[in-house]
Amino acid sequence: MAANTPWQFKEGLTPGAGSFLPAPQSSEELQQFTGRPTTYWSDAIRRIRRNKLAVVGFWIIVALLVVAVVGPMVSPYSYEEQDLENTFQSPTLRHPFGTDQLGRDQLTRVMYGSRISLAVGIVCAALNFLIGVTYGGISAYFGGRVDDIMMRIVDILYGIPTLIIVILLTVLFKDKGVSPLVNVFIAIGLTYWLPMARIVRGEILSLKEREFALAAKTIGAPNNRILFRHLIPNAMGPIIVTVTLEIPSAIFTEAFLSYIGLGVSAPVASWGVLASDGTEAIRSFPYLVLFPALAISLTMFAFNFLGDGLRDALDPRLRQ
Amino acid sequence: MGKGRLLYEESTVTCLDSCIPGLILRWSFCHTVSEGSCSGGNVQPGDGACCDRSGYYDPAIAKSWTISADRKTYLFTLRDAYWTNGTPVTAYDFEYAWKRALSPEIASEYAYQLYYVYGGEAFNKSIKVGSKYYVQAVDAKGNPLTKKEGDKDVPVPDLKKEIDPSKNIGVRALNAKTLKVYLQSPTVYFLNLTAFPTLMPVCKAVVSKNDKWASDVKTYVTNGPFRLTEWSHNEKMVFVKNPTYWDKDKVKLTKITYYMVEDESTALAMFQSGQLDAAANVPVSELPKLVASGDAQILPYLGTYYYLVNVTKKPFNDVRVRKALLLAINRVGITQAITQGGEVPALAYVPYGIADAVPGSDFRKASQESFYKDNDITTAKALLAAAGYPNGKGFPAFTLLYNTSNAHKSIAEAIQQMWKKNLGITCTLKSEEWGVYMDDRQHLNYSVARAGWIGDYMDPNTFLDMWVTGGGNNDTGWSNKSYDALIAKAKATTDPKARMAALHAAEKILMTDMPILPIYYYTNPVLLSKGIKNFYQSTLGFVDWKNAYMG
Repeated sequence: MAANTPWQFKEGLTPGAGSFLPAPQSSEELQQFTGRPTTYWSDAIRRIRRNKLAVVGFWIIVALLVVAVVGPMVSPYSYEEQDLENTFQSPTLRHPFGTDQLGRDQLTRVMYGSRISLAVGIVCAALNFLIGVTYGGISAYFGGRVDDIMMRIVDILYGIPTLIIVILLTVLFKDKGVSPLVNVFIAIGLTYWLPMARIVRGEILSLKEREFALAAKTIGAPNNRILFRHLIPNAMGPIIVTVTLEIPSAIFTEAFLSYIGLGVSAPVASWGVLASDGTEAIRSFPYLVLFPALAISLTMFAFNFLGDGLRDALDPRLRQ
Repeated sequence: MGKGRLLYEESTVTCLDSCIPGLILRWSFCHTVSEGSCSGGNVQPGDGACCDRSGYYDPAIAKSWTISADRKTYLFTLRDAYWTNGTPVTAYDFEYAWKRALSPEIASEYAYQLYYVYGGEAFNKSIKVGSKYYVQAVDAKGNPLTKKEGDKDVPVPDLKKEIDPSKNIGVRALNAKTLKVYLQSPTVYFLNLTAFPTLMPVCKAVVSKNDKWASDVKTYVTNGPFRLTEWSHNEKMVFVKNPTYWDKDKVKLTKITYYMVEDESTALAMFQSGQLDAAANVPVSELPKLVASGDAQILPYLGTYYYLVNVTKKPFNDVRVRKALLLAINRVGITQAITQGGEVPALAYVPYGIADAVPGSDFRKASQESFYKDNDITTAKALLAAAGYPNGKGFPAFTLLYNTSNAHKSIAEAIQQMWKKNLGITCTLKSEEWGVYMDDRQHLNYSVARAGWIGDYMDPNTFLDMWVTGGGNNDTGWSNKSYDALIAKAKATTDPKARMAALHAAEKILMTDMPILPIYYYTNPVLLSKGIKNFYQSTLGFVDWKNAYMG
C-alpha cells in the first residue's frame, strides 16, 4: 500500500464526509483510474479496423502505390519497348500479363499506367484541399452576398460537363506542344473541387454558429485564424470522406477520357488507353483488356470501400 | 435473290457528287449508282471497276466506239439508257459532266483525270471573271502572275486570252447518242479512265438547276444498277435495284444497305451477329483468325501505304534526313506483326501488278525492283549524322500525323519507336478525323503524315503523275523540274517502251529525292459472308454489286 496514493481511503476510516481526497491533477494519473480516453481520431481508427472491406481497400491502395513507384523500375522491360517478333503473346512467366499488338510487356504497361492514375488521384486530392476546402470555407464563413456570388459560380461550373471542357482544351492547345495529360489535369482541376466546396460550405455554415467559434470571435481572433484553425479542422471528417470518394471518380474520368482518345498520347499508356487498345482485339486476345480493366475496377473498389468505411468511422453520430 | 448489305467503315461521306469525292471508299458509291461510258474487266459488264490487265473493255452506257489512227479522237455511240427520273442518258450529259468537273469553280480534287481531254487542264486552271474564263497572265520570264489581296496571292487573269468552254475543250456531243472526244495527246489508258467516277455523266437537266443535287436523295438522279433511296448522314445509305437501268435483268440483288461504322471492331461484331453481310475493313488483330475461318478474304489491291514528308519544313528539307527516316523503318516487322494481311514491304513506290511495256511483264520488276534496303539502320545513322544530327542530337521534336484508325495508330506507334530506338529522334503522334487531317495535309500544316494511294487505273502513271509540281494530291511541297518533264513526256508519247522508260526514270527521281517514305503495298482484307456469291472488287477497290447475289 503506497502511502503516496492520496485518493485511497484511509485505513480505519469509513466513507463519509472528509474521507474524499481531491482528484488527481495530471491526466496520466487519472488514466489509471478511468482507462485511456477515446479521442475522435482514435475512435475512428478503432472502428475502421473493424470494417474488413475498408481495411482491404486501404491495403490495396498501399499496394498500388508501391507497384506504381517500384514496379516500372524493377521490370526488365520498359513500357515503350517493342518486340515485333513477340506480339500478342498469351500470359506466360516471361510476360505475366502477355504482350500487346506491338510486343510490349502488358504488365509493365499496366504498372506504368498506375502512375498516371495515381498522379491524377493526387492532383485531384490536392486541388480538392487547395481550392475546394478554401473556397467552400470562405463562402460559408463570410456568408451573405459573398456566399451568393461564390456559390453561383460553383453552380455554373457544375453545369459544364468535363468532356466538353477537355474537348475545348484539346482544340485550344492544338499544336501548342501541350501534353494531352495536361488537358485532363486542367479539366479535373476545373470540375472536381466543386462537390468539396459545397460540402465544406454546409459544414462551416453550421460550425460557425457553435460556441467555440463564437468564443474565438469574441476574444478577437482574426477571420483566417478562426476559419483555418477552428472551423476547418472540425469539418475534417466529411472532407476526408469526400476526397476518398472523389479520387476514384477522377481516376475513372482519366481512364474514360483516354479510352475515347482524349487522354495521354502514345506510347505512354494509361489504363484507359490500354483498355481501349485491348478492346479492339477482345475476341482473340481478351487478356489485353482484362488486366487494365481489372486494375481500374480494383482501384475503384479500394477507394470506394475505404471512403465508405471512413464515412461511417468519422460520423460522430455513429459513435459507440 | 435477297438483300446484300455492305458496310463501310468510313463515316464521312458528305457529298455524292461524282466529281468531288476524296477517298477511295467513297468511289464505290459512284459505281453502285452511276455508270460511265465503258467499264473494263473480264469479270462482268457493269459499273464495277475498270480495266483488267488483259485490256478487255466492256461496254456500259457506250454501246460502241471508234478510235482514230492517231489515237487522239474517240467517237462513242451511246445505247438507250435512262436516268432514275426516266429521262434518257445523252451525250449532252457526258459533255456537261466533264466540263463541270473541269470547271475552276467546282475545284474537283480529281479534275486532273480529265486533263487528258484537249484543253482540259487549261480550263481547269483558268480564272473566272464574271461569266468568262481567262488564262492566267504571265510575266516576262514566263512565271504566272499573282497579286496580293489581303493575305492571299490571287492569280491575275490575262484578259486577252479567253477560254471558251463550249469551243476550247475536246469533248462535244454531236447528237444525243454520239459523243466525240479529242485528247490532248494519245493516252493509251484513256478507255480505262472512262470507268473512273470523275468521268461519269450527270443528268444535265437536274444538275444545272441545282448545285446541291447530290446532297439530297430526292434530287440525286443516277443511271446505275442501283439507286439511292435513303441516306441518313453518318449512319446509313440504302440502295435499291434501279428499275430504269438498261441492263436490269442481270441485277439480282434488290436492296443494299451501307452502314457507316467508324470502328472496325464494331463492324466485326455486327458481322458476327449477322447484322452485316460484308465489311470493308477488318480489325488487324483478328485478321489471321478470320482468314483461317473463311470469314475474311484477302483481295489484291493496287496501292501503296506511305508517309508524306513536308519538304518545305526544316529539317525535312534535307534529303539525308528524309532518307534516314526511310531507312530506319522495319517494314517486314510492320507487315508481319501488325498489318498481317499479306502486305509486301515497299522498297519502291509503284506497287506490283501493273503491266510494263512488254506484254506479261510487271512494271515493278521490269527495271529496278527496289531502291533501298529495309531496316538499313547503319546507313540511316550515317545519313542523319551527315545531316548534322549524330544520334539524333539536336533533332527537333516533331509530330507524326495520321487519320483516326486503330491500324494507322499501331503502325505509327511502331515507327515512332523505330525512329526513337534507331535514330534517337522523338516524335509525338497526332490523330485527326479525316476532314481535319486532309485540311492539314493540303495546307502543309504537318511534318510527317500517313498517306496511302490506291491506283485509279491500271497504269504506273496513276501513281506517278500525282507528284508533279502543284499536283492536286502532292501534299509534300516537293517540286522537281526534270520529274515534271518526264511525266509530261510519258503523257505525250504513244510508244509503250519510251513511255515506260520515262515513267521508270521518273520513279527513280522520286526515290532519290524521297518526299515520301513508302512502307508497304496494300492488300485488301474484307469480311465477306459465305452467302454472297459473285462478289467482285477490283484491285482498284471498286465494288461491283451488279451481278452479286445471296446464295
